[in-house]
Amino acid sequence: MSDLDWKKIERELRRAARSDAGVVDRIMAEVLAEPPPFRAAAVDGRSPRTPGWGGSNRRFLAAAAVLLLVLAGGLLPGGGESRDASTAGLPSPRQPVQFVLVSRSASHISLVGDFNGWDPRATPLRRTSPDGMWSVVVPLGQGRHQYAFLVDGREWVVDPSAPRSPEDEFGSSKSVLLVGESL
Amino acid sequence: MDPTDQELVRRIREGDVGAYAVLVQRHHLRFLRFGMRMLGNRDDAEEAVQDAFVRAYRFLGRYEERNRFDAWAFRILVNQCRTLLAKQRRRERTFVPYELALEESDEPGWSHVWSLEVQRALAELPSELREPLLLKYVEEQSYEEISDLTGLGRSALKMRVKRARERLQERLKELNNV
Amino acid sequence: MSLRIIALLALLLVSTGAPRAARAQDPRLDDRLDPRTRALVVAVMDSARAQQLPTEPIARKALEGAARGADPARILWAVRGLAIRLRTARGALGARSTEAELVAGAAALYIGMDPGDLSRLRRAYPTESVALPLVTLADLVERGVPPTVAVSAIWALADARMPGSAYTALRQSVIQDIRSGASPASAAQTRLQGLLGGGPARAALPPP
Repeated sequence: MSDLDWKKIERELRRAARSDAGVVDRIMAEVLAEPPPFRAAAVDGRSPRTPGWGGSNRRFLAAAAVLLLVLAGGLLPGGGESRDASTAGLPSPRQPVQFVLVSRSASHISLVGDFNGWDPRATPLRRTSPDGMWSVVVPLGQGRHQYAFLVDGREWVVDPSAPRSPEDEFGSSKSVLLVGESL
Repeated sequence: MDPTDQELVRRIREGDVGAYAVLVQRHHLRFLRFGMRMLGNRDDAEEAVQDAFVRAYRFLGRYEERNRFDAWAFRILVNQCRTLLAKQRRRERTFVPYELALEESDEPGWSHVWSLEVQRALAELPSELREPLLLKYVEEQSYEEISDLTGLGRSALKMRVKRARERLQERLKELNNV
Repeated sequence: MSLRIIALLALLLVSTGAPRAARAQDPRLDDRLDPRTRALVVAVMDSARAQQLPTEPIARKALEGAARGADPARILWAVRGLAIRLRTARGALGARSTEAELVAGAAALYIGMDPGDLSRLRRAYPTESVALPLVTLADLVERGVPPTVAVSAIWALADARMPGSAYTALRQSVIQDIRSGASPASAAQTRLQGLLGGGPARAALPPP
């Protein structure tokens, strides 16, 4: 890449932040809550305050537990050497997998994953007990599947009992399930 | 003529707290830009900048007038960004690079997609490379000043800046070829 | 995302000669994405198709974004990034790679594998699928094995031209060790040594 291109990158890096009158006000509101700086000794001696995290805290669903059960045992054929045995999207015998989520407060839960086109309408869970257990059984082909639960149409909940993918482009993780081998 | 930073600090020391608002107004956009480039999203950047200005005010007694106020406060900001980066790692929240692309852009066309790509490539640099790169090319600091801020020697810094620049160029070249 | 930016994107899409509508309409996209976002996603898919890259993973990524309520800028960013990784994976793995290999390769690139690592895998397995080693890599990382350790383990097996069963064995034994309390990194290293015959084939922590 030429120096000219670097100039283009540099110009972008130096692009000014968007001005927002509220920022100065918010900073000054915090500053005014401070004692004047020249009662120096006393001020310097105190411990720093914990910064406020505002709205950035994640709200966690009050799910008591999440269970994932692969109903069918011994799903793995041979030694996994077949050419495309390892990934989703290939024709292979389907195995029933039960997904379970416990939530007392949810009014609707759906399962979304690569196996149903991430369609929130495709695979609703059914409430199976009064103490908040929801479940659904889905036949899945052999391979690696990614999924999550969508609670009340908006809350993305990963399965704490399953491995998670690294944080992805949408800013959070997904659960991962390998069908075809014992978990 | 606008009062200098030093004059404003003197006024604050004499009890005119409002003079601090002038200092904040004067420097906050530059601080925000650094915070956003370092932390990748506006919320965290604003938090870092706010904490930096509050701390600077709190510790104004330690500020010596022969130094530049903005350079002294900027040092506090760099430290706040490091603290927030560590917190981001703990709460598994990393860059949200797309937010920057929604900022106003001076250029027409695909510039915001370009902004997004630059920020994304920047996000992929480890913070040990990102910080010196930004200090050098965005803040236009000398290696002596960066060395003072980071505690790293001049040759190590030069190497990091060079590596950061090369990686950024390489990544963007790949992106532009699609 | 502001309307101004969306409008700009739509305008540019037209002015840069990108197709104005989906060449192959995908009803899933029609149903789940707003028209402007859909046009952008379809443009990325068309571009991928023109480069003989698989488009289904790109459609799925966009649908995933829609399910998660992501805004158009982020969906576009995600699909474009995936298209780039698929292309990079194809460049590294070769033009005859299967879709499964490209998808697994793109995922491996996302978690930090270099294109050079992919090529090295292909050299080790010129006529067999490298999807299994790549899926094993992703799985190890998801289970907490540091990416550098996981990549080294995959390399080591590839360099020794180990069969697919070795990857499955590595994965299963590492899972077992992690469940028995071993650290993911040490589990991977210990089990790798066992498989390569350079050390004990025993667990990082003895199972109860």
